[in-house]
Amino acid sequence: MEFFSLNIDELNAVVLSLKVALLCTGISLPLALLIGYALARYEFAGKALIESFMHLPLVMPPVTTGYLLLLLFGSKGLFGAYLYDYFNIKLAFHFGGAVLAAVVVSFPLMLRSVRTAIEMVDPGYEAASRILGASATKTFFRITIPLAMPGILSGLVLSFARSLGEFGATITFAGNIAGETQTIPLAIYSYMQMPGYEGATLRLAFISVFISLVAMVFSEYFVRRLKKA
Amino acid sequence: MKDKLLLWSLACLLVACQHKPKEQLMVFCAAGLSNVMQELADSFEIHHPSTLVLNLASSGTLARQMAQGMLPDIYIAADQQWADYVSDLGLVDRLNQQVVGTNGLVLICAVNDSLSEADVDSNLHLLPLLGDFRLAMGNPQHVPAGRYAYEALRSAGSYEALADHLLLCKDVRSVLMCVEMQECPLGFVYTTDALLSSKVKILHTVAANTYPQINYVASLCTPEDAAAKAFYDYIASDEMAPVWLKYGFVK
Repeated sequence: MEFFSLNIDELNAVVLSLKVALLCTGISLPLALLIGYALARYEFAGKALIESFMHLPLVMPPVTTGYLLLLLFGSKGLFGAYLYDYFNIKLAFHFGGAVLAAVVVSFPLMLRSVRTAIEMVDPGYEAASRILGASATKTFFRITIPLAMPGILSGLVLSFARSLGEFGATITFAGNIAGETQTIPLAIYSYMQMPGYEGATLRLAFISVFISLVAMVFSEYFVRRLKKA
Repeated sequence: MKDKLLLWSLACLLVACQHKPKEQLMVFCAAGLSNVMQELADSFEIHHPSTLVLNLASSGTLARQMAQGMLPDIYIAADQQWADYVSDLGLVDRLNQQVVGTNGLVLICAVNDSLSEADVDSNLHLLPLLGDFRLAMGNPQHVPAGRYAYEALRSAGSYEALADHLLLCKDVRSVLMCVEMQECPLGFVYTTDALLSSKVKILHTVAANTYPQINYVASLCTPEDAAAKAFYDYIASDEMAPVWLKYGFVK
């Protein structure tokens, strides 16, 4: 049992990872619903370009994403300088930076699932709802979202798992600061560099497998329940 | 048609196998030495028939690869500890290890920063210079440059005050990048790294007696191989000293 007792740094890493991943999915979900709906239902100029741009972090090496984030949101970066000068917000090498990195990297995964799920919803149901007097907003929440729910859920889990595993962009943009930005993968990386930390490495590896497994089982369960209903 | 293709490729393979491969030397080398080692390897290849394959990574990563059974002909570590680690594992005889170069430790800031040498005292009271930013240095638990910086701060008596204001990076290059991009106003790097970058300037050269000597230790893992032995002697020879000096290393 002693094997499973975590020291403070390991515990910090686990708590921080969960915080980052939950915040990240929380921020991504409304954005993905809005953008996913727009992409699924409307045609507009530059749609392909916007889509490709949003999917970039999926195909780019995460280190590159981190570097670009640093150029944009670093304290001397294009937007980062304004955030710091006017609002005193610092993202690079702070907790917020870890969340931002996770959002950027995991967003395309959620967007893809949500968009496909909404595309599969027969627009006839939405039209019927509108004809029967429901507003567009009400139709969106009462018809579109429930019908697309399995896809939205799987998108949630995918992006949660991806943000939990995010390494490259995080270490470049948010650094590896214990208790501030050191999530499970970064802690594992640090422990792997040090002789005599094999136990800690293995413990954290087990924990990340466990968290991912729980997330997967939950989503499977919900998807099945939804399909039955 | 498919059979013919297969036969052809088999025939090609057989012909290819008949060529005796040129002798290859595998050199595992600390990443900080990449430019000097590339030049040494190029000039060695002109005079010798062997080809050198350089594997550049952090000393620790390389030592771990060796512990897992990937044995190179020569391993060059950026500090004594990792050299000792491989000899303790019995992979190298201590007699086949030598110091091939040394380096210095400096405090850097961005080149357009208003700070000057006069702002830093020998006791390294750096906190007032940081504002609400962090001081970048390697993680002392696994980055040699970080450990030297840690020792220097400890002997100057300023580590305690700075402990919560450090950005511990995964390697020296990350430290350099953080200072170049002005994410951190100050950083500790090797003299050679500071000289490489045009975007940083040396603010303070850390007194050499406040940290252990920064040695690059070469290990000859295959002493029975004449070509490996030749390269091992070549990089440490007096004739090659100017190459080391060119990149800021001291022989």
